[in-house]
Amino acid sequence: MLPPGKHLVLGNIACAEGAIRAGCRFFAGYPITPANEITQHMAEELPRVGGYFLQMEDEIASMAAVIGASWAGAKAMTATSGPGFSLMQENIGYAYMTETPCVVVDVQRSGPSTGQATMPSQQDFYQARYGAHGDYEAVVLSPWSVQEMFDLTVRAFNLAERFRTPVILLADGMIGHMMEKLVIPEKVETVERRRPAGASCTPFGTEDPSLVPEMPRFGEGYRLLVTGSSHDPTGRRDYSPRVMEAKLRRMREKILRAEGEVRDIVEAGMGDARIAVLSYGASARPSYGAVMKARKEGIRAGLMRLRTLWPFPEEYLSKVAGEVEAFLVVEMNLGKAVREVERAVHGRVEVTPLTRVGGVVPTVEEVYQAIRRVDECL
Amino acid sequence: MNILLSGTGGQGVVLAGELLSRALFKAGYEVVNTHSYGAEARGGACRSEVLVSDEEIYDLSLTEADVLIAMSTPAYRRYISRVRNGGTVILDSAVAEELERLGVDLRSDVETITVPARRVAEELGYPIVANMVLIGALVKRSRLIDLEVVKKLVEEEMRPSMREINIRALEAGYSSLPLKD
Repeated sequence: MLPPGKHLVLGNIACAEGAIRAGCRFFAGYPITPANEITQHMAEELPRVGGYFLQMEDEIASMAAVIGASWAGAKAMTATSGPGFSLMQENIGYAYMTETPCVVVDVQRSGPSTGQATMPSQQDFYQARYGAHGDYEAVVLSPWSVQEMFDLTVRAFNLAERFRTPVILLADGMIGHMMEKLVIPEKVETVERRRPAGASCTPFGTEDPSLVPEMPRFGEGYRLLVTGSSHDPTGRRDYSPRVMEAKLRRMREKILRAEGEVRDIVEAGMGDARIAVLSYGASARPSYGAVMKARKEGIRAGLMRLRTLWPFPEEYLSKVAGEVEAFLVVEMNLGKAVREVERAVHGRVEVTPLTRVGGVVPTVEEVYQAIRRVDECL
Repeated sequence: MNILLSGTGGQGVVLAGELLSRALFKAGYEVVNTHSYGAEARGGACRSEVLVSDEEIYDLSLTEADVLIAMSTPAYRRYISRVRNGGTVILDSAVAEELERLGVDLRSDVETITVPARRVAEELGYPIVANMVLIGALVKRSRLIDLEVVKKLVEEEMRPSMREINIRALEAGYSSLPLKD
Protein backbone atom coordinates (compact mmCIF):
# COMPACT_ATOMS: atom_id res chain seq x y z
CA MET A 1 0.00 0.00 0.00
CA LEU A 2 1.07 3.57 -0.64
CA PRO A 3 1.93 5.58 2.47
CA PRO A 4 -0.20 8.59 3.45
CA GLY A 5 0.80 11.73 1.55
CA LYS A 6 1.00 13.01 -2.00
CA HIS A 7 1.37 10.61 -4.93
CA LEU A 8 1.15 10.66 -8.71
CA VAL A 9 -0.86 7.57 -9.55
CA LEU A 10 -3.40 6.09 -11.96
CA GLY A 11 -7.05 6.52 -11.06
CA ASN A 12 -7.40 2.74 -10.94
CA ILE A 13 -4.62 2.48 -8.37
CA ALA A 14 -6.29 5.22 -6.31
CA CYS A 15 -9.50 3.16 -6.38
CA ALA A 16 -7.74 0.04 -5.10
CA GLU A 17 -5.92 2.01 -2.41
CA GLY A 18 -9.22 3.55 -1.27
CA ALA A 19 -10.88 0.14 -1.17
CA ILE A 20 -8.25 -1.40 1.10
CA ARG A 21 -8.39 1.60 3.43
CA ALA A 22 -12.18 1.36 3.54
CA GLY A 23 -11.71 -2.18 4.87
CA CYS A 24 -12.08 -4.24 1.70
CA ARG A 25 -10.53 -7.64 2.32
CA PHE A 26 -11.93 -9.63 -0.57
CA PHE A 27 -11.70 -9.05 -4.28
CA ALA A 28 -12.83 -11.37 -7.06
CA GLY A 29 -12.51 -10.32 -10.65
CA TYR A 30 -11.76 -11.09 -14.24
CA PRO A 31 -9.35 -8.91 -16.23
CA ILE A 32 -10.69 -6.29 -18.62
CA THR A 33 -9.41 -3.01 -20.02
CA PRO A 34 -9.62 -0.31 -18.71
CA ALA A 35 -10.15 -1.70 -15.20
CA ASN A 36 -7.13 -4.05 -15.05
CA GLU A 37 -4.96 -1.99 -12.73
CA ILE A 38 -7.59 -2.21 -9.98
CA THR A 39 -7.56 -6.00 -10.24
CA GLN A 40 -3.77 -6.12 -10.46
CA HIS A 41 -3.23 -3.81 -7.49
CA MET A 42 -5.71 -5.75 -5.36
CA ALA A 43 -3.92 -8.99 -6.30
CA GLU A 44 -0.65 -7.48 -5.10
CA GLU A 45 -1.88 -5.71 -1.99
CA LEU A 46 -4.74 -7.73 -0.48
CA PRO A 47 -2.59 -10.70 0.64
CA ARG A 48 -0.31 -8.23 2.45
CA VAL A 49 -3.17 -7.03 4.66
CA GLY A 50 -4.63 -10.46 5.33
CA GLY A 51 -7.19 -10.23 2.53
CA TYR A 52 -8.10 -12.56 -0.31
CA PHE A 53 -7.80 -12.09 -4.03
CA LEU A 54 -9.45 -14.46 -6.47
CA GLN A 55 -9.25 -14.38 -10.21
CA MET A 56 -12.42 -16.09 -11.36
CA GLU A 57 -13.32 -17.75 -14.64
CA ASP A 58 -15.56 -14.85 -15.65
CA GLU A 59 -17.51 -11.86 -14.37
CA ILE A 60 -20.59 -13.91 -13.47
CA ALA A 61 -18.53 -15.98 -11.06
CA SER A 62 -16.68 -12.88 -9.81
CA MET A 63 -19.90 -11.27 -8.68
CA ALA A 64 -21.08 -14.53 -7.09
CA ALA A 65 -17.82 -14.80 -5.13
CA VAL A 66 -18.16 -11.22 -3.93
CA ILE A 67 -21.66 -11.93 -2.60
CA GLY A 68 -20.45 -15.07 -0.82
CA ALA A 69 -17.55 -13.22 0.75
CA SER A 70 -19.85 -10.48 1.99
CA TRP A 71 -22.07 -13.05 3.73
CA ALA A 72 -18.93 -14.54 5.25
CA GLY A 73 -18.41 -11.12 6.83
CA ALA A 74 -15.92 -9.45 4.50
CA LYS A 75 -16.13 -6.10 2.78
CA ALA A 76 -15.95 -7.26 -0.81
CA MET A 77 -15.51 -5.73 -4.22
CA THR A 78 -15.10 -6.43 -7.91
CA ALA A 79 -14.07 -4.21 -10.81
CA THR A 80 -14.85 -4.44 -14.49
CA SER A 81 -15.86 -2.53 -17.59
CA GLY A 82 -18.93 -2.53 -19.88
CA PRO A 83 -18.89 -6.08 -21.26
CA GLY A 84 -18.07 -7.56 -17.85
CA PHE A 85 -20.61 -5.29 -16.17
CA SER A 86 -23.28 -6.74 -18.48
CA LEU A 87 -22.34 -10.27 -17.39
CA MET A 88 -22.47 -9.32 -13.72
CA GLN A 89 -26.02 -8.03 -13.85
CA GLU A 90 -27.76 -11.28 -12.94
CA ASN A 91 -25.80 -11.61 -9.73
CA ILE A 92 -25.97 -7.88 -9.01
CA GLY A 93 -29.72 -8.48 -8.98
CA TYR A 94 -29.14 -11.32 -6.53
CA ALA A 95 -27.16 -8.91 -4.34
CA TYR A 96 -30.06 -6.42 -4.33
CA MET A 97 -32.56 -9.15 -3.50
CA THR A 98 -30.43 -10.56 -0.69
CA GLU A 99 -29.43 -7.06 0.51
CA THR A 100 -25.76 -7.87 0.27
CA PRO A 101 -23.34 -5.01 0.86
CA CYS A 102 -20.62 -4.93 -1.82
CA VAL A 103 -18.94 -2.56 -4.22
CA VAL A 104 -18.92 -2.98 -7.99
CA VAL A 105 -16.60 -0.73 -9.96
CA ASP A 106 -17.43 -0.16 -13.62
CA VAL A 107 -14.63 1.70 -15.39
CA GLN A 108 -16.74 2.58 -18.40
CA ARG A 109 -15.41 2.11 -21.89
CA SER A 110 -16.92 2.93 -25.23
CA GLY A 111 -19.58 0.46 -26.39
CA PRO A 112 -21.89 -1.28 -27.05
CA SER A 113 -20.18 -4.66 -27.14
CA THR A 114 -16.39 -4.72 -27.51
CA GLY A 115 -16.66 -1.17 -28.85
CA GLN A 116 -13.49 0.82 -28.27
CA ALA A 117 -11.91 -1.26 -25.53
CA THR A 118 -9.30 1.25 -24.42
CA MET A 119 -11.40 4.38 -24.76
CA PRO A 120 -13.67 6.07 -22.21
CA SER A 121 -17.42 6.68 -22.19
CA GLN A 122 -20.29 7.39 -19.83
CA GLN A 123 -22.67 5.07 -21.63
CA ASP A 124 -23.50 2.82 -18.66
CA PHE A 125 -25.45 5.55 -16.85
CA TYR A 126 -28.67 3.55 -17.10
CA GLN A 127 -27.10 0.11 -16.91
CA ALA A 128 -25.76 1.04 -13.50
CA ARG A 129 -29.31 1.91 -12.47
CA TYR A 130 -31.46 -0.58 -14.33
CA GLY A 131 -29.03 -3.32 -15.38
CA ALA A 132 -30.62 -6.07 -13.30
CA HIS A 133 -34.24 -7.05 -13.70
CA GLY A 134 -36.85 -6.42 -11.05
CA ASP A 135 -37.44 -3.45 -8.77
CA TYR A 136 -34.71 -1.94 -6.66
CA GLU A 137 -33.03 1.37 -5.90
CA ALA A 138 -29.43 1.68 -7.05
CA VAL A 139 -26.74 3.77 -5.38
CA VAL A 140 -24.26 4.93 -8.01
CA LEU A 141 -21.29 7.26 -7.51
CA SER A 142 -19.26 9.11 -10.14
CA PRO A 143 -15.66 10.33 -9.61
CA TRP A 144 -14.16 13.17 -11.69
CA SER A 145 -10.52 12.86 -10.62
CA VAL A 146 -7.91 10.43 -9.38
CA GLN A 147 -8.50 11.82 -5.89
CA GLU A 148 -12.18 11.02 -6.13
CA MET A 149 -11.41 7.50 -7.35
CA PHE A 150 -10.00 7.11 -3.84
CA ASP A 151 -12.54 9.18 -1.91
CA LEU A 152 -15.66 7.81 -3.60
CA THR A 153 -14.46 4.21 -3.34
CA VAL A 154 -14.28 4.73 0.42
CA ARG A 155 -17.73 6.31 0.34
CA ALA A 156 -19.06 3.44 -1.79
CA PHE A 157 -18.03 0.92 0.89
CA ASN A 158 -19.51 3.06 3.64
CA LEU A 159 -22.84 3.42 1.85
CA ALA A 160 -22.90 -0.30 1.00
CA GLU A 161 -22.36 -1.21 4.65
CA ARG A 162 -24.83 1.33 5.92
CA PHE A 163 -27.68 0.42 3.58
CA ARG A 164 -26.82 -3.24 3.05
CA THR A 165 -26.91 -2.85 -0.68
CA PRO A 166 -24.58 -3.09 -3.67
CA VAL A 167 -23.02 0.29 -4.51
CA ILE A 168 -21.75 0.97 -8.02
CA LEU A 169 -18.72 3.17 -8.54
CA LEU A 170 -19.32 4.35 -12.10
CA ALA A 171 -15.90 5.52 -13.18
CA ASP A 172 -14.69 5.90 -16.76
CA GLY A 173 -11.62 4.94 -18.75
CA MET A 174 -10.36 8.50 -18.74
CA ILE A 175 -10.20 8.85 -14.97
CA GLY A 176 -9.18 5.22 -14.43
CA HIS A 177 -6.30 5.39 -16.87
CA MET A 178 -5.05 8.84 -15.98
CA MET A 179 -2.18 9.67 -13.65
CA GLU A 180 -2.61 12.72 -11.46
CA LYS A 181 -2.30 13.84 -7.88
CA LEU A 182 -3.67 11.70 -5.07
CA VAL A 183 -3.43 12.76 -1.45
CA ILE A 184 -3.86 9.79 0.87
CA PRO A 185 -5.02 10.85 4.33
CA GLU A 186 -3.62 9.39 7.56
CA LYS A 187 -6.97 7.85 8.32
CA VAL A 188 -10.28 7.37 6.54
CA GLU A 189 -13.67 7.15 8.16
CA THR A 190 -15.26 3.74 7.78
CA VAL A 191 -18.73 2.34 8.43
CA GLU A 192 -19.51 -1.23 9.49
CA ARG A 193 -22.75 -3.10 8.82
CA ARG A 194 -25.23 -3.60 11.67
CA ARG A 195 -24.67 -7.00 13.18
CA PRO A 196 -27.08 -8.94 15.38
CA ALA A 197 -26.27 -9.15 19.08
CA GLY A 198 -29.27 -11.08 20.37
CA ALA A 199 -29.95 -14.81 20.41
CA SER A 200 -31.92 -14.66 17.19
CA CYS A 201 -32.32 -12.23 14.33
CA THR A 202 -34.42 -11.49 11.28
CA PRO A 203 -31.85 -10.78 8.57
CA PHE A 204 -34.47 -9.61 6.07
CA GLY A 205 -36.78 -7.55 8.21
CA THR A 206 -36.45 -4.87 10.85
CA GLU A 207 -38.35 -2.50 13.10
CA ASP A 208 -35.45 -0.08 12.89
CA PRO A 209 -36.37 3.29 11.35
CA SER A 210 -33.44 2.94 8.94
CA LEU A 211 -35.29 -0.05 7.45
CA VAL A 212 -31.88 -1.75 7.18
CA PRO A 213 -31.93 -5.17 8.88
CA GLU A 214 -29.05 -6.55 10.91
CA MET A 215 -26.75 -8.82 8.95
CA PRO A 216 -25.31 -11.96 10.51
CA ARG A 217 -22.55 -13.88 8.84
CA PHE A 218 -22.32 -17.53 8.05
CA GLY A 219 -20.74 -19.58 10.80
CA GLU A 220 -21.72 -17.27 13.65
CA GLY A 221 -24.43 -19.61 14.90
CA TYR A 222 -27.51 -17.85 13.59
CA ARG A 223 -29.97 -19.80 11.52
CA LEU A 224 -29.32 -18.17 8.18
CA LEU A 225 -31.08 -18.69 4.87
CA VAL A 226 -30.09 -16.55 1.91
CA THR A 227 -32.09 -16.83 -1.28
CA GLY A 228 -32.80 -14.79 -4.37
CA SER A 229 -36.39 -16.00 -4.27
CA SER A 230 -39.06 -14.06 -2.43
CA HIS A 231 -38.52 -14.47 1.31
CA ASP A 232 -39.98 -13.39 4.60
CA PRO A 233 -38.01 -11.45 7.25
CA THR A 234 -36.41 -14.66 8.55
CA GLY A 235 -35.16 -15.56 5.07
CA ARG A 236 -37.61 -18.39 4.47
CA ARG A 237 -38.97 -18.67 0.95
CA ASP A 238 -42.43 -17.17 0.72
CA TYR A 239 -44.07 -16.39 -2.60
CA SER A 240 -47.12 -14.63 -1.21
CA PRO A 241 -47.82 -11.22 -2.78
CA ARG A 242 -47.92 -9.57 0.65
CA VAL A 243 -44.43 -10.73 1.61
CA MET A 244 -42.79 -9.82 -1.68
CA GLU A 245 -44.48 -6.43 -1.84
CA ALA A 246 -43.42 -5.58 1.71
CA LYS A 247 -39.86 -6.64 0.94
CA LEU A 248 -39.57 -4.59 -2.27
CA ARG A 249 -41.17 -1.51 -0.74
CA ARG A 250 -38.88 -1.63 2.28
CA MET A 251 -35.79 -2.14 0.10
CA ARG A 252 -36.79 0.87 -1.98
CA GLU A 253 -37.70 3.00 1.00
CA LYS A 254 -34.45 2.35 2.89
CA ILE A 255 -32.57 4.12 0.08
CA LEU A 256 -35.09 6.82 -0.84
CA ARG A 257 -35.58 7.81 2.80
CA ALA A 258 -31.89 8.71 2.93
CA GLU A 259 -31.69 10.35 -0.50
CA GLY A 260 -30.84 13.71 1.05
CA GLU A 261 -27.75 12.21 2.70
CA VAL A 262 -26.69 10.08 -0.24
CA ARG A 263 -27.09 13.11 -2.50
CA ASP A 264 -23.71 14.56 -3.37
CA ILE A 265 -23.62 17.56 -5.68
CA VAL A 266 -20.65 19.88 -5.99
CA GLU A 267 -21.61 23.31 -7.20
CA ALA A 268 -19.51 26.11 -8.67
CA GLY A 269 -20.85 29.53 -9.55
CA MET A 270 -24.47 28.48 -9.08
CA GLY A 271 -25.28 31.44 -6.80
CA ASP A 272 -26.09 33.85 -9.63
CA ALA A 273 -26.30 31.38 -12.52
CA ARG A 274 -28.80 31.76 -15.35
CA ILE A 275 -27.38 28.67 -17.07
CA ALA A 276 -26.88 25.52 -15.01
CA VAL A 277 -24.32 23.18 -16.58
CA LEU A 278 -24.86 19.67 -15.26
CA SER A 279 -22.19 17.02 -15.68
CA TYR A 280 -20.42 14.16 -13.89
CA GLY A 281 -17.22 12.11 -14.11
CA ALA A 282 -14.61 12.97 -16.73
CA SER A 283 -16.92 15.26 -18.70
CA ALA A 284 -17.36 17.44 -15.62
CA ARG A 285 -13.69 18.44 -15.82
CA PRO A 286 -13.92 20.41 -19.08
CA SER A 287 -17.39 21.55 -17.97
CA TYR A 288 -15.82 23.19 -14.93
CA GLY A 289 -13.13 24.82 -17.07
CA ALA A 290 -15.78 26.06 -19.51
CA VAL A 291 -18.01 27.48 -16.77
CA MET A 292 -15.07 29.40 -15.32
CA LYS A 293 -14.18 30.72 -18.77
CA ALA A 294 -17.79 31.74 -19.45
CA ARG A 295 -18.00 33.55 -16.12
CA LYS A 296 -14.84 35.50 -16.99
CA GLU A 297 -16.59 36.53 -20.20
CA GLY A 298 -19.57 37.77 -18.19
CA ILE A 299 -21.89 34.82 -18.90
CA ARG A 300 -23.73 33.80 -15.74
CA ALA A 301 -23.15 30.06 -15.90
CA GLY A 302 -22.72 27.66 -13.00
CA LEU A 303 -21.75 24.01 -12.67
CA MET A 304 -23.64 21.27 -10.88
CA ARG A 305 -21.47 18.22 -10.71
CA LEU A 306 -23.18 15.03 -9.61
CA ARG A 307 -20.99 12.78 -7.49
CA THR A 308 -24.01 10.64 -6.68
CA LEU A 309 -25.79 9.77 -9.92
CA TRP A 310 -28.43 7.50 -8.40
CA PRO A 311 -30.72 8.08 -6.64
CA PHE A 312 -31.03 10.91 -9.14
CA PRO A 313 -31.53 14.21 -7.27
CA GLU A 314 -34.91 14.96 -8.86
CA GLU A 315 -36.31 17.07 -6.06
CA TYR A 316 -33.14 19.14 -5.89
CA LEU A 317 -33.06 19.77 -9.63
CA SER A 318 -36.71 20.67 -9.60
CA LYS A 319 -35.84 23.43 -7.12
CA VAL A 320 -32.91 24.62 -9.25
CA ALA A 321 -35.22 24.75 -12.26
CA GLY A 322 -37.09 27.54 -10.50
CA GLU A 323 -33.87 29.53 -10.12
CA VAL A 324 -32.15 29.24 -13.52
CA GLU A 325 -33.23 29.87 -17.09
CA ALA A 326 -31.58 26.96 -18.85
CA PHE A 327 -29.80 23.66 -18.32
CA LEU A 328 -26.89 22.37 -20.37
CA VAL A 329 -26.17 18.67 -19.74
CA VAL A 330 -22.68 17.51 -20.74
CA GLU A 331 -22.03 13.76 -20.99
CA MET A 332 -20.06 11.17 -22.95
CA ASN A 333 -23.02 9.27 -24.42
CA LEU A 334 -25.88 10.10 -26.76
CA GLY A 335 -28.01 11.60 -23.99
CA LYS A 336 -28.86 9.78 -20.77
CA ALA A 337 -28.66 11.99 -17.69
CA VAL A 338 -30.31 14.66 -19.83
CA ARG A 339 -33.52 12.59 -19.81
CA GLU A 340 -33.53 12.54 -16.04
CA VAL A 341 -32.94 16.31 -15.94
CA GLU A 342 -35.85 16.82 -18.34
CA ARG A 343 -38.06 14.71 -16.09
CA ALA A 344 -37.01 16.69 -13.02
CA VAL A 345 -37.50 20.16 -14.51
CA HIS A 346 -40.71 19.11 -16.20
CA GLY A 347 -40.60 21.53 -19.12
CA ARG A 348 -40.19 24.63 -16.96
CA VAL A 349 -36.81 25.58 -18.48
CA GLU A 350 -34.97 24.70 -21.66
CA VAL A 351 -32.69 21.65 -21.34
CA THR A 352 -29.91 21.31 -23.94
CA PRO A 353 -27.72 18.21 -24.26
CA LEU A 354 -24.05 18.27 -25.23
CA THR A 355 -23.23 14.69 -26.11
CA ARG A 356 -19.95 13.12 -27.20
CA VAL A 357 -19.32 9.51 -28.17
CA GLY A 358 -16.49 7.75 -29.97
CA GLY A 359 -14.16 7.52 -26.99
CA VAL A 360 -13.36 11.19 -26.50
CA VAL A 361 -13.75 13.58 -23.59
CA PRO A 362 -15.19 16.96 -24.62
CA THR A 363 -12.78 19.90 -24.46
CA VAL A 364 -13.16 23.09 -22.46
CA GLU A 365 -13.61 24.99 -25.73
CA GLU A 366 -16.42 22.70 -26.90
CA VAL A 367 -18.35 23.08 -23.67
CA TYR A 368 -17.67 26.83 -23.61
CA GLN A 369 -19.07 27.23 -27.13
CA ALA A 370 -22.17 25.26 -26.11
CA ILE A 371 -22.65 27.55 -23.09
CA ARG A 372 -22.37 30.56 -25.41
CA ARG A 373 -24.99 29.15 -27.75
CA VAL A 374 -27.37 28.56 -24.86
CA ASP A 375 -26.64 32.08 -23.57
CA GLU A 376 -27.43 33.64 -26.95
CA CYS A 377 -30.87 32.01 -26.89
CA LEU A 378 -31.79 33.40 -23.47
CA MET B 1 2.38 23.08 -21.41
CA ASN B 2 1.22 20.03 -23.36
CA ILE B 3 3.82 17.45 -24.27
CA LEU B 4 3.04 14.61 -26.66
CA LEU B 5 5.48 11.70 -26.72
CA SER B 6 5.03 9.26 -29.56
CA GLY B 7 6.65 6.24 -31.08
CA THR B 8 6.21 2.58 -31.71
CA GLY B 9 5.25 0.10 -28.98
CA GLY B 10 8.40 -1.23 -27.33
CA GLN B 11 10.41 2.00 -27.61
CA GLY B 12 9.61 3.06 -24.06
CA VAL B 13 7.21 5.90 -24.87
CA VAL B 14 4.87 5.16 -21.97
CA LEU B 15 7.76 4.75 -19.52
CA ALA B 16 9.33 8.01 -20.68
CA GLY B 17 6.01 9.84 -20.30
CA GLU B 18 5.56 8.43 -16.82
CA LEU B 19 9.07 9.33 -15.71
CA LEU B 20 8.72 12.85 -17.09
CA SER B 21 5.34 13.21 -15.34
CA ARG B 22 6.76 12.03 -12.02
CA ALA B 23 9.65 14.47 -12.31
CA LEU B 24 7.32 17.39 -13.12
CA PHE B 25 5.03 16.36 -10.27
CA LYS B 26 7.97 16.23 -7.88
CA ALA B 27 8.95 19.71 -8.98
CA GLY B 28 5.53 20.94 -7.85
CA TYR B 29 3.55 21.13 -11.08
CA GLU B 30 0.03 19.88 -11.58
CA VAL B 31 0.31 16.95 -13.98
CA VAL B 32 -2.12 14.80 -15.91
CA ASN B 33 -0.59 11.87 -17.78
CA THR B 34 -2.49 9.55 -20.10
CA HIS B 35 -1.24 7.05 -22.59
CA SER B 36 -2.54 4.80 -25.31
CA TYR B 37 -1.10 1.91 -27.21
CA GLY B 38 -2.26 -0.53 -29.81
CA ALA B 39 -3.61 -3.96 -28.93
CA GLU B 40 -0.37 -5.45 -30.31
CA ALA B 41 1.59 -3.87 -27.39
CA ARG B 42 4.83 -4.02 -29.40
CA GLY B 43 5.07 -2.63 -32.90
CA GLY B 44 1.83 -0.61 -32.86
CA ALA B 45 1.37 3.13 -32.53
CA CYS B 46 1.99 4.38 -29.05
CA ARG B 47 1.66 7.76 -27.37
CA SER B 48 1.85 9.41 -23.98
CA GLU B 49 0.29 12.79 -23.23
CA VAL B 50 1.76 14.89 -20.45
CA LEU B 51 -0.26 17.95 -19.46
CA VAL B 52 1.64 20.30 -17.14
CA SER B 53 0.36 23.42 -15.43
CA ASP B 54 0.80 25.68 -12.43
CA GLU B 55 -2.95 25.41 -11.90
CA GLU B 56 -5.50 22.61 -11.69
CA ILE B 57 -6.03 20.95 -15.08
CA TYR B 58 -9.56 20.77 -16.46
CA ASP B 59 -8.94 20.06 -20.14
CA LEU B 60 -8.15 16.35 -20.09
CA SER B 61 -7.63 15.90 -23.79
CA LEU B 62 -4.59 17.22 -25.52
CA THR B 63 -5.91 19.07 -28.55
CA GLU B 64 -2.76 21.04 -29.34
CA ALA B 65 0.74 19.98 -28.35
CA ASP B 66 3.37 22.56 -27.42
CA VAL B 67 6.02 19.89 -27.78
CA LEU B 68 5.99 16.69 -29.81
CA ILE B 69 8.62 14.02 -29.34
CA ALA B 70 8.61 11.56 -32.22
CA MET B 71 10.64 8.36 -31.91
CA SER B 72 9.46 6.79 -35.15
CA THR B 73 8.48 7.93 -38.62
CA PRO B 74 4.91 6.60 -38.43
CA ALA B 75 4.49 8.42 -35.11
CA TYR B 76 5.76 11.66 -36.63
CA ARG B 77 3.34 11.40 -39.53
CA ARG B 78 0.47 10.57 -37.24
CA TYR B 79 0.94 13.36 -34.73
CA ILE B 80 2.71 16.24 -36.49
CA SER B 81 -0.62 17.93 -37.25
CA ARG B 82 -1.36 18.11 -33.52
CA VAL B 83 1.55 20.48 -32.82
CA ARG B 84 0.46 24.07 -32.36
CA ASN B 85 1.74 26.84 -34.57
CA GLY B 86 5.07 27.93 -33.07
CA GLY B 87 5.47 24.69 -31.14
CA THR B 88 8.51 22.46 -30.91
CA VAL B 89 9.18 19.05 -32.43
CA ILE B 90 11.98 16.91 -31.05
CA LEU B 91 12.92 14.21 -33.52
CA ASP B 92 15.29 11.32 -33.38
CA SER B 93 17.88 12.10 -36.07
CA ALA B 94 17.21 8.69 -37.59
CA VAL B 95 13.58 9.69 -38.06
CA ALA B 96 14.59 13.03 -39.57
CA GLU B 97 16.87 11.24 -42.04
CA GLU B 98 14.15 8.82 -43.00
CA LEU B 99 11.68 11.66 -43.53
CA GLU B 100 14.20 13.36 -45.79
CA ARG B 101 14.69 10.17 -47.75
CA LEU B 102 10.95 9.85 -48.14
CA GLY B 103 10.76 13.47 -49.32
CA VAL B 104 8.51 14.57 -46.44
CA ASP B 105 8.62 18.34 -45.96
CA LEU B 106 8.97 19.40 -42.33
CA ARG B 107 6.45 21.96 -41.08
CA SER B 108 7.89 25.45 -41.36
CA ASP B 109 5.69 26.95 -38.62
CA VAL B 110 7.20 24.80 -35.87
CA GLU B 111 10.73 24.51 -34.58
CA THR B 112 12.21 21.11 -35.38
CA ILE B 113 15.12 19.89 -33.28
CA THR B 114 16.91 16.68 -34.07
CA VAL B 115 18.65 14.59 -31.42
CA PRO B 116 20.73 11.53 -32.37
CA ALA B 117 18.93 9.48 -29.74
CA ARG B 118 19.05 6.09 -31.40
CA ARG B 119 22.74 6.47 -32.29
CA VAL B 120 23.73 7.65 -28.82
CA ALA B 121 21.78 4.81 -27.24
CA GLU B 122 23.48 2.30 -29.50
CA GLU B 123 26.86 3.77 -28.61
CA LEU B 124 25.97 3.31 -24.97
CA GLY B 125 25.27 -0.30 -25.80
CA TYR B 126 21.55 -0.16 -25.01
CA PRO B 127 19.28 0.85 -27.92
CA ILE B 128 16.29 0.86 -25.55
CA VAL B 129 17.49 3.99 -23.75
CA ALA B 130 16.90 6.22 -26.80
CA ASN B 131 13.77 7.42 -24.97
CA MET B 132 15.91 8.75 -22.12
CA VAL B 133 18.19 10.61 -24.55
CA LEU B 134 15.11 12.42 -25.89
CA ILE B 135 13.85 13.16 -22.36
CA GLY B 136 17.27 14.65 -21.58
CA ALA B 137 16.95 16.91 -24.61
CA LEU B 138 13.39 17.88 -23.68
CA VAL B 139 14.43 18.77 -20.13
CA LYS B 140 17.14 21.05 -21.51
CA ARG B 141 14.85 22.72 -24.01
CA SER B 142 11.65 23.08 -21.96
CA ARG B 143 13.49 24.34 -18.87
CA LEU B 144 10.53 23.19 -16.74
CA ILE B 145 12.68 21.12 -14.42
CA ASP B 146 16.23 20.42 -13.42
CA LEU B 147 17.84 17.32 -14.90
CA GLU B 148 18.86 16.33 -11.36
CA VAL B 149 15.19 15.72 -10.46
CA VAL B 150 14.88 13.22 -13.31
CA LYS B 151 18.18 11.54 -12.49
CA LYS B 152 17.14 11.17 -8.87
CA LEU B 153 13.91 9.51 -9.92
CA VAL B 154 15.80 7.05 -12.10
CA GLU B 155 17.97 6.23 -9.10
CA GLU B 156 14.94 5.74 -6.86
CA GLU B 157 12.64 3.85 -9.18
CA MET B 158 14.56 1.87 -11.76
CA ARG B 159 16.11 -1.48 -11.10
CA PRO B 160 19.75 -1.13 -10.06
CA SER B 161 21.24 -2.71 -13.17
CA MET B 162 19.58 -0.12 -15.42
CA ARG B 163 20.16 3.03 -13.37
CA GLU B 164 23.55 4.07 -14.62
CA ILE B 165 22.82 3.52 -18.28
CA ASN B 166 19.59 5.52 -18.10
CA ILE B 167 21.34 8.37 -16.33
CA ARG B 168 24.07 8.40 -18.94
CA ALA B 169 21.42 8.49 -21.67
CA LEU B 170 19.65 11.42 -19.96
CA GLU B 171 22.92 13.31 -19.66
CA ALA B 172 23.87 12.63 -23.27
CA GLY B 173 20.53 13.97 -24.47
CA TYR B 174 20.79 16.98 -22.18
CA SER B 175 24.23 17.96 -23.40
CA SER B 176 23.35 17.36 -27.06
CA LEU B 177 21.51 20.69 -27.15
CA PRO B 178 22.85 24.16 -26.46
CA LEU B 179 21.10 26.20 -23.76
CA LYS B 180 18.53 28.45 -25.38
CA ASP B 181 17.77 31.96 -24.04
